[in-house]
Amino acid sequence: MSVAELKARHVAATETVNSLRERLQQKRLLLLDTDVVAVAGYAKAHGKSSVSFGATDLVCCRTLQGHTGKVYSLDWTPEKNRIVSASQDGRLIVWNALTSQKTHAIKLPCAWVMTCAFSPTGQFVACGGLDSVCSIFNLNSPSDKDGNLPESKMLSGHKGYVSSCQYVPDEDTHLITSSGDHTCVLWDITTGLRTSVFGGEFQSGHTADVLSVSINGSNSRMFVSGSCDSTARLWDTRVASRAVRTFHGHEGDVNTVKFFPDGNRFGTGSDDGTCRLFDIRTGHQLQEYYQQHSDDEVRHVTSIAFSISGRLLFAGYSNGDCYVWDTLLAQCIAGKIWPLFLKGNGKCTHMPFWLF
Amino acid sequence: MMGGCSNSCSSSSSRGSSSLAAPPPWCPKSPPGGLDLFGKGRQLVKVQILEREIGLLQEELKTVEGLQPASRCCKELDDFIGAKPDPFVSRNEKPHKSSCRWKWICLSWIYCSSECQKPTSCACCPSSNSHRHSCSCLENMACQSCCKITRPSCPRFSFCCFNSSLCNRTKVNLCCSKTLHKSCCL
Repeated sequence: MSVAELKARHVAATETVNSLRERLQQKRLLLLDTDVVAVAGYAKAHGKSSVSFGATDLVCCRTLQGHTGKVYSLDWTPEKNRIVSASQDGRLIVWNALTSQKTHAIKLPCAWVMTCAFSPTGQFVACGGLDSVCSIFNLNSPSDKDGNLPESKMLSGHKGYVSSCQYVPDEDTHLITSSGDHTCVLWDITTGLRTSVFGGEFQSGHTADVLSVSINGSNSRMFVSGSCDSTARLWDTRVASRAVRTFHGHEGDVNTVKFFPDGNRFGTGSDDGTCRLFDIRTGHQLQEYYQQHSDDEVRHVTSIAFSISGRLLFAGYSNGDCYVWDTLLAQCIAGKIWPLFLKGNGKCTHMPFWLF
Repeated sequence: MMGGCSNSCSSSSSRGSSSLAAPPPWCPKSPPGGLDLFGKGRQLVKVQILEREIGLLQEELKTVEGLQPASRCCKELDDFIGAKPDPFVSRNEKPHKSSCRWKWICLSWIYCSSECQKPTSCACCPSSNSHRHSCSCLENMACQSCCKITRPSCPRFSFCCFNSSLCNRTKVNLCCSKTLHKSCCL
């Protein structure tokens, strides 16, 4: 087949894909039987009362000071008593969340860290960034002669930066990373090898940098990823060749994804300034969360987290704002509530969901 | 003439007759017509990916007919949220808690309506800044919310109460006072 014929086939295939997506969207719209705004319409019709916060109902109870550069990521232990944070000052810090004391300050081989995660047992921490490597540290290991904690494993294989990482629940030996090379990878930490690669050049997957992953807490074989291709994708770790479902709707990079506590839905945050709630089984976009501002500046959503029931959605934005959304009524019930997070050189872009 | 003759061929030829000329050095074949094979290969991959996507979309179109409507998803969501205790929501489910205008005013002649809880009044507490920044501020339960110092900074107030029967919250407050263990709730 000639190049000209291939190009013609490419154009035809692109048109077919766009047409099929349009038809799919139309069919989905017919299934939105509640209201255009889905969840909010349903909740209002069923008399749901709003959640309200007073000025003193959400207060900062801890300020963890110690980083000297932007804080790009943080993660809690499952017991919710320790936090690991990653900063571009080149360190991971492990904090006792109750006392605010630092238990570890790990100097990283590469300062350009973008993500960190605690293992389910709390014994290990993982991090990754512009070095394209996911590094694992054993917190119980002795320090080397320079007082630094050595890496216990380096997971090499990504061809682009590591943007996000998360351990598989209840498994200290497996974690999933997302990368600027358009793929997600499931790693066997014991061997240091890739168990599965999701997407990539020769498989059906994201077509741009993948920025975030979230593993389903109710079914750890499922995870979602968010990408600069404006989509989120649902994956089954047993089937790496293609995504289970692709979620369209965002009009910009999907910077963050997070599973809803029930495991059947997930939230997203995007450069288009919106957060959205999707259903994994049906693919429906259930709700959009967006606040128009008088200055028309689009504030990118950089990070989200759900409260334990899912009623509240915490969203961090690129201008430093943090808003609390009522997930059911799609109302912003608190905003700009944590200016303290922006003090000094540390700029927290990830939300803890325990705030007491 | 064949491009690239194997070593076995040349050696057998040379054994057959000493008068045969040495074969020309092997040259790789030039691609016909100057075609960029690398570009064609990538184009083919792109087309294959698109055609795979077409197959997936066609499959999805078939399954979408049988999907449950959004209202059922919304009901599931509502039911789940309603069934799960949430410390943030349970704290704020009584609208009067934060809507009492007089919450922070402590003047004997102001009557706090029945809709309001008894206000915690900063005006009733020592107003000195140094007091509010010291641990002694936390000794007065009624003034604790006015203090500018946090419990973790004051060791004698940083004990955990796990069994306070006076706590009507499901979550344990980890920053309550050992000496003032009347209530572990903020």
